[in-house]
Amino acid sequence: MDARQVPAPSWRRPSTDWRSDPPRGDVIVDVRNLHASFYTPDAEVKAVDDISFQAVRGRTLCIVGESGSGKSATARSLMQLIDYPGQISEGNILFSPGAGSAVQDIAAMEPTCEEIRAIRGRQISMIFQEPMSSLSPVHTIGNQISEVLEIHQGLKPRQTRERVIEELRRVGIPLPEERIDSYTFQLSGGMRQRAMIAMALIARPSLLIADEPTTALDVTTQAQILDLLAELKEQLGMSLIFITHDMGVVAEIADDVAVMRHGKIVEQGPVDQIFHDPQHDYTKQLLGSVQGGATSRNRRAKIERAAASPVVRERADPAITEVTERPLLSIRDLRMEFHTVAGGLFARRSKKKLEAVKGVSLDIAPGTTFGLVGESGCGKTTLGRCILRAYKPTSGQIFFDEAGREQVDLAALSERELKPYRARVRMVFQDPYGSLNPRMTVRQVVEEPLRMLDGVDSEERGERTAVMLERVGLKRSAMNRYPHAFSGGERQRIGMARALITDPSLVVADEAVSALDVSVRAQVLDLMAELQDQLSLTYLFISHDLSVVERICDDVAVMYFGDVVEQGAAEDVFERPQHPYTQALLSATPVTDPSARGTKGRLTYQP
Amino acid sequence: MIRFIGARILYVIPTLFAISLISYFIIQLPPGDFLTSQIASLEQQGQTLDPAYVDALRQRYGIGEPFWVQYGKWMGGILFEGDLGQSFEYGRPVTALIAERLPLTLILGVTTLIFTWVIALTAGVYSAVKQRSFADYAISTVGFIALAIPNFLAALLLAYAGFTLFGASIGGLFSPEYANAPWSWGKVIDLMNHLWIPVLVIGLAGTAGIIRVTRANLLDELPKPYVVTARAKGLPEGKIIRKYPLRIALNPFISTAGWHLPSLFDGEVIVAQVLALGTTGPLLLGALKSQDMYLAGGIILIIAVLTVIGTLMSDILLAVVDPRVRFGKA
Amino acid sequence: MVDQMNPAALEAPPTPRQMRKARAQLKFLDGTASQSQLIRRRYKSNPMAMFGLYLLCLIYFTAIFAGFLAPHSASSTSADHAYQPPQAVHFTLEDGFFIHPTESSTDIETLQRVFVEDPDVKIPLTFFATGDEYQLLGFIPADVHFFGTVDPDQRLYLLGADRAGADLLSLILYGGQISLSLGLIGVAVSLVLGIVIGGISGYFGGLTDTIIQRVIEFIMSIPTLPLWLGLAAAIPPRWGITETYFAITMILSLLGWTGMARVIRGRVLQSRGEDYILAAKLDGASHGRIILRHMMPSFVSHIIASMSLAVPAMILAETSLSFLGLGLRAPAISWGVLLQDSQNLQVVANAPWLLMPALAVVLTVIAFNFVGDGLRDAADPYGK
Repeated sequence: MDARQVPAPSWRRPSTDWRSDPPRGDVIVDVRNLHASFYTPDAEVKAVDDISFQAVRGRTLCIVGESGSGKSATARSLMQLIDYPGQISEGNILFSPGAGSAVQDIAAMEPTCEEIRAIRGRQISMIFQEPMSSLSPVHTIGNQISEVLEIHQGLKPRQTRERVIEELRRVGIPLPEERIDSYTFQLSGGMRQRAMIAMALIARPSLLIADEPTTALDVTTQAQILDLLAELKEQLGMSLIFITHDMGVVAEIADDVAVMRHGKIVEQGPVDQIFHDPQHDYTKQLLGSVQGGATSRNRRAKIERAAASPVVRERADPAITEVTERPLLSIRDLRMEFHTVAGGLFARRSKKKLEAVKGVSLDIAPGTTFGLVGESGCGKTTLGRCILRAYKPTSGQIFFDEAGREQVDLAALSERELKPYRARVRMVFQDPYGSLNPRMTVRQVVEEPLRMLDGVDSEERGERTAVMLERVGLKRSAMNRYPHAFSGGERQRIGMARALITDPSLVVADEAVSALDVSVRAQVLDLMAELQDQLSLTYLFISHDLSVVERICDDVAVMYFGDVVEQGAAEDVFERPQHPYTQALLSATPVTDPSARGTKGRLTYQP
Repeated sequence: MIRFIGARILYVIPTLFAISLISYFIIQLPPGDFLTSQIASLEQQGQTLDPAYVDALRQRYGIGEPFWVQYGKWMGGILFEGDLGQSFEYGRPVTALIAERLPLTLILGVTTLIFTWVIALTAGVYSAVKQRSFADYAISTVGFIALAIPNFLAALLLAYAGFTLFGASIGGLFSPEYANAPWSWGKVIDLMNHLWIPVLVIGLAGTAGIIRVTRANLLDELPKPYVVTARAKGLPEGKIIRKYPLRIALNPFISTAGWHLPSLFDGEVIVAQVLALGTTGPLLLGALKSQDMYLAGGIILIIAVLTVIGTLMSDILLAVVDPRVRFGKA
Repeated sequence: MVDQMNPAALEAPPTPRQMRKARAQLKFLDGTASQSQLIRRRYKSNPMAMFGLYLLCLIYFTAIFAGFLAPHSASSTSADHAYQPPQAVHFTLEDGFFIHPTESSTDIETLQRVFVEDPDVKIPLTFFATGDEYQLLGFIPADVHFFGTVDPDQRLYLLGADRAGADLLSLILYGGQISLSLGLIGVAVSLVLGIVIGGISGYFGGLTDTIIQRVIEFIMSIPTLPLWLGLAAAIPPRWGITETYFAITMILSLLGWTGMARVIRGRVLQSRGEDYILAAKLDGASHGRIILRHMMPSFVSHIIASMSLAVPAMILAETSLSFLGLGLRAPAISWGVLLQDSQNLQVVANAPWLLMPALAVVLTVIAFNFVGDGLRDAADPYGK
């Protein structure tokens, strides 16, 4: 391998010929032929590869793309914030804060020079994905917000306190007089992001760049933040550049859209045009992931039956799902409590009891996909792990009833008695990286569960592994490779192979596609549907993503703080939600069509 | 905050108890009862002891009684009378001997600590900020060598260099004319003139270690998102580093500062021996060699207690500096 | 990479070595390389670490074959040569290697010994010289030395002599046997303690963990050297070399396991939370299998790395103890014992070569540090 260092180009002032062709007056930032690269010892990696776009004053431009598309590098280029060893190598970023004001070329500024520092935070502000890690944990939020005024207006912290409190109130933080002295870890995720927004807006910039600001948030919080941003944009007359991977968010907020892939813009235009008349295949693929796609077997069947004889449906339907089939899994009054011990040996010990699951009862019919939805911390993962017996539930029963076998209560079994059922109930993990041991080959990973079955020798294990790998769409030759050689989607296929190798009847998929890019996500969901048909599997699909659950699940249960607040057939729950929390959750889900924007009022749920 | 400090202080009590046990254990270690062996060696030198005096000593230290009783008497003497026992070799109370030398030890320790931190932090921060520069490599190389040189060797080399260059011993903390003089400005200045050599030597390895830790911590913090946020506000680079990543990179450093204290004392023992300093180190060494166990145990106890107090202070300092510790979130 | 300047290179058939290399290269490209292969590759790409490894191999080689490499046995002394300075080796074509003998006398004014070379007399030297008897590897009797005087009764002082007139080079080589092995044994004992205690602490957590952590913090908070000194002072002087050796090793490792235990606890805690460990549990793997097959491999390399950083600390500790006269004592030979003589500044000033054992210590410590750092960097699979 050639280890020569690729030399980073020395700082080059881009040509000034843009002066002969200045940007239009209504354009706040005009990006022309921008190139940005990362210079590693081995190679030059092009993150942004010759892109041009314009952000119009007072409008919201969404830059949408998957991981590695260069959308974040683009956003950061606009403020000369690309991390070392990245650099803008070519092009112009023509910025004019107000109509008729002077045009500056940001691409020609050095990353640490005075001019760019005067723009940062004052003219252009930025908010980030992870408010927790994007704010300093050892400074109060008031300190961090007032700093912006100190830098740009030369004010002392004492003078700014009132203004900071005012700004915190504006972004909807309750009790701003107290919150101003809080640290980030004392605030919830949504409040942190609001504080971040207050910090970005306090100097009244003309352009706000939001880099995936809602990705780390729950759907209801996301809706609030999106609404807040739209409202503030109107109030303050800003322009907004919004970076996201989520077409739903684009439909909610964008005026204009630029779709990025592999460092290039593949398509751009007004949001209605992009959604209703997409030209590029990639755009269509991204839209497909939001606007439908794979549907579960039972629901497909139901839809087909309904189409064939709408009259019969009324009577036949309940018979299919409820009478003829006994549930594969029925959970009765399941409780799971955790005891956390605070304090140490001598300090006052405070035993805290955390009830993660509070008496849940569910039935899952064989051959169906059961969706378990809820926001982070609602106990859905704990419930899943109780079923898998990764945890021993505090009380309650988990009846597992396979055709041709005796019904057992998984909750009551000892580790030893549980062993045969470990092969019957399997799990697919969320994180395709953390769930595969980097020190084991794919074969070793996939065949591990076969070792607990008696009478499977090494040769048979190898053969079954190979067959299973082909089944999940991988090559046989993958067996001897290590996980590091695979992409996220491929790793998730390996995870599927590991789950299915024992020929289980129930698979618990805990956020199994959440970590994947939308295009890969669709492939994995298709694979799951296909395998369900072939192997007559039952899925318990745990997810926070309502759109995915709506698309693939037959039945749904909604969890809120350890309780199941509503359950039923998917179309009932999604179309006629009964519980106010479900209603709030659904109202927060982004629309899939920009023309439907604002048609569903936001509901909030306070128990 | 007050609860935190209270809990920390509560932790110190069992630690102090364990330390005193270990110290007394060491006093007890030499085979046979130490009084008999002391008397034997004194008689060998031709001295005779008043049997009544011997009996009084026997009574006082609880010789022949179980370990716990002896320990109780020893501990009782310390707690209620401030009495660490009698040094046989010097024929004086241990407390008096320690009191003579402890201030110098503390001056040496504190100066070394300050020296180490100032140099190490500056070099560590510089090294991290100018990563892969010539200065970074130079600092790392010097650090590597400093870590590998046992500090007695450093002391010897410096002493040897002084000996060959100036033709005179550079040991000691005072020039002969000040050695027994009362404290005066002249004496303080003289002390400063002598102090830098042991400070340099003792601080050497510690400095190298802290440079490495600071550099690594800061390099971990520099690419964190909150640094980008600070940059996006328009802060100048220097202020960004001082206010944000450096502040956070220092936390693990403050929390382990307590553990640097023991190594300071370790270094002090060896270096003081080589450079013939009038600190507690050589006293301890001499006491151990001549099995003057009350003196040795007393010094070990005092040094350990000082270290525990130092650790306690660094814990409290950490809580003051880092709100996450204060609110129990880290 | 094909050499552009040499077209012949394009046509020449690949040598077996090139083939092996190409096959190895392929391994890393198609993802069949295991973690340990990746670690080895990363390690090899670090020149400092490789230098440290070679140096370390050399140092241990000289210690293992000390008898063969040393010109003299450790116990052979010569009062005439007390504090003999290092001798220069000369070379001419007709005589080969030789040295000049020295005549010692005491300077009346300074009362120091003065050595004068006699340039007329040549003492011939040779490779594979016959000399003092020794036991190669501890059990093979031999009397051939790598380099020495042709006449077994003559003496050679490449690095000078100590107070008793023993050859310092030979002493350093023999001293390495004790100093280097003591480091390894001490760390091995620490490691066992660290794995057991740190493992228990990390795996079980809860109150057990809290108590063990408190104890470790306590041990770390007391100055080690005074404690070592206190314990070492209690070793009865009448004990033999072997007993003292083991007693010192025990004292050092009893107080040195804490760092190791913390490393292992941290690793166990970290890997306990990994998804793939939960996956292994759900795959029906037993506790033993989870620990040995799923957890251990991921931190073996880290353990080796922290071990190789702990060995030099142990060697330094022994050297310091012995230097202060409370560790090993003559007639045992370790680097620290050899340095005892140099405690006296006057002696060092007159015979600076007595500091040579310290050079051996420094080289060893640097080599270990390079290896340890290299391993630590290489062991982080997704690290920077």
